[in-house]
Amino acid sequence: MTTLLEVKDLVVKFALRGGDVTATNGVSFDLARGERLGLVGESGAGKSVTGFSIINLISQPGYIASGAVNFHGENLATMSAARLRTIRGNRISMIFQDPMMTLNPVLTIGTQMIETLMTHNPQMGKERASGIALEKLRKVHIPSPEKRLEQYPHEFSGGMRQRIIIAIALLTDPELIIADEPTTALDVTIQAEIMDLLIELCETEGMGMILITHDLAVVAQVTQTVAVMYAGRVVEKGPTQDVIARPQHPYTQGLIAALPQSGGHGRRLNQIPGMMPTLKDIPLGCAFNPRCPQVMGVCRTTTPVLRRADNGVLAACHLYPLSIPTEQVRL
Amino acid sequence: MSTLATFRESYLWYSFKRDKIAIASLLVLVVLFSSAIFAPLIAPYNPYDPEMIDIMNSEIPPAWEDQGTWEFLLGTDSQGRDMLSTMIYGMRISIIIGLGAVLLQAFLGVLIGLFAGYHGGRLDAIFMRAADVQLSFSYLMVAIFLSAVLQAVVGVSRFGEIAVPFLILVIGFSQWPQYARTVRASVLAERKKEYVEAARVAGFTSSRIILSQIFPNTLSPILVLSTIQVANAVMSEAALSFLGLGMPIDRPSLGSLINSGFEYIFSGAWWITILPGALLVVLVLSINLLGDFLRDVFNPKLYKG
Repeated sequence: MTTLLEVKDLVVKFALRGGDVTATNGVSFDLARGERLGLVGESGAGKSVTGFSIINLISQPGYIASGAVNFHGENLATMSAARLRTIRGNRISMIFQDPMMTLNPVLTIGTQMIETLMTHNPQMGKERASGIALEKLRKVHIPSPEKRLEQYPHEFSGGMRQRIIIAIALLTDPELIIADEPTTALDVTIQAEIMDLLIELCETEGMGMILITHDLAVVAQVTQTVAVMYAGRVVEKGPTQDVIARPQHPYTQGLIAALPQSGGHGRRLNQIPGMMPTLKDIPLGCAFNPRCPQVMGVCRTTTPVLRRADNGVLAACHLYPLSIPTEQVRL
Repeated sequence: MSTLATFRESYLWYSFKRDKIAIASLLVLVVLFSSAIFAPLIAPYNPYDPEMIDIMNSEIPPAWEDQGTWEFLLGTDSQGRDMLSTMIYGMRISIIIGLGAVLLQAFLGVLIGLFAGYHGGRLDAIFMRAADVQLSFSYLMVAIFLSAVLQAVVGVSRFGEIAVPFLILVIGFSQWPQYARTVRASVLAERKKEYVEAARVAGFTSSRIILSQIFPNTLSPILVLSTIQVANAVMSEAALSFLGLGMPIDRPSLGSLINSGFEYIFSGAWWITILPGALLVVLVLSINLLGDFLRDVFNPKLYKG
């Protein structure tokens, strides 16, 4: 499989009044063409920041301090703004969390879709653009798309709007879609529909996808590989099945144990005690150490690196000290 | 769905049908505007044509007064011009200046407001301070100064020819901060919304985001403001002309008509001042009432007491 995207030691900082705050610290992962990767973690773990930094669109005062985002071998982190715009929204698309907010309320769906197409292809005629828009609306299973093109966002339900947003993301046949919690604002049945749709589209179009979510169930259903983030670092990554079946890092274990189990009626839900540290005061050593049930002395002094654990999954934890550090090992 | 059908189902049309004041003021405005547009066809005389003016006809009262004649329905002014025709032509000039000045204000103000609001930072600070400074000048003061300079440069006789563009420029430039502030305020609210972020993610350039995504969202305050500003511009023009800084007496606007009759008001020739004054009041009032209606429709959150 050829590599589509390679994120290498990505460090994103936010310049705040009290000094710089590190939002992601050395995040690395690879994505092959057509691969679906899940980025999981609690709020504030740096998932969305990672997503935005891939297309180099971190809002002020954030900036990419070091590291590289190689898309087809080209580093997006150092690319010129004009060149970036030919990639952004064209070869890499992004889907947001709230379908109620992402569409412009005063423009028709058709106008918004045509506008997006013409941005990336100014020579394209309106006729052809609306033809493509219709085709994409059909692809996301919007009934009678001709009529729908002339309607405004408020005339659609939440699920429909998210489909339209997906259709807009698909307009330019991107190679990669970054979906930032695409179903959080939707109810569970619609959520499943949207996820099925995304899988279907990835498979038929050969698109890669980075799914940013805090929902492990969704990750298990949709993705092939998963990276678990905690306090700005990737603490565990590997094939989704293996990570879900036998999580290695105590944090991942805690997350999975916290999921409500079927058949577990009447039992208390497990939880990970404590809160994730704010980015300003990340503890020394392993950031998870204050909450870790298996904490050891070394955890309080040394930050662990990703190492290959028993089942081939990579985990950044001092529980696996004997294996080789796997800086170079590619997923 | 055709545009007309969409409009007939819209909330705007729905509330319009139920608002008697709005209907009345729109009717008055349509009558006034169309008579201004078709002035040469409607007015019984051409007040610009010296051939049609006879000084012997001066100061004839309106037809219903004792010495009035039906030849001059609303009487004549001190130079023997038919008041009705002169008022229609004068209103035409007032409306042209009012609309022209508002177009200029809106163009400047909207553009500055959009870009300053979206980009923020230094650009924003410079333009908004400029707006503050501009608003602390009285436009009358600026206009008096400029027109004095201009009259000295081009001569009083030729000033009449350039008076219309001059008034449009003076009123237009003095009032752009109103637009800039209004638009900037709504841009500040809009630019944080996710659709703007989505447009950036979609690879739109910032000017494209501003013009094609944010601008349509600021239209309703612009529309409401514009009605008020047209009324204000007409008033400003009348004030300047009344002071003798605007339209000359041979091409009078409503303001200069009011002024020209002012000295005769104590000699009993009240109609030369009162009639154009009343027309000005009706014109401005109906624009303002229509503006109030639009504001209520576009801003339903506002409590209508």
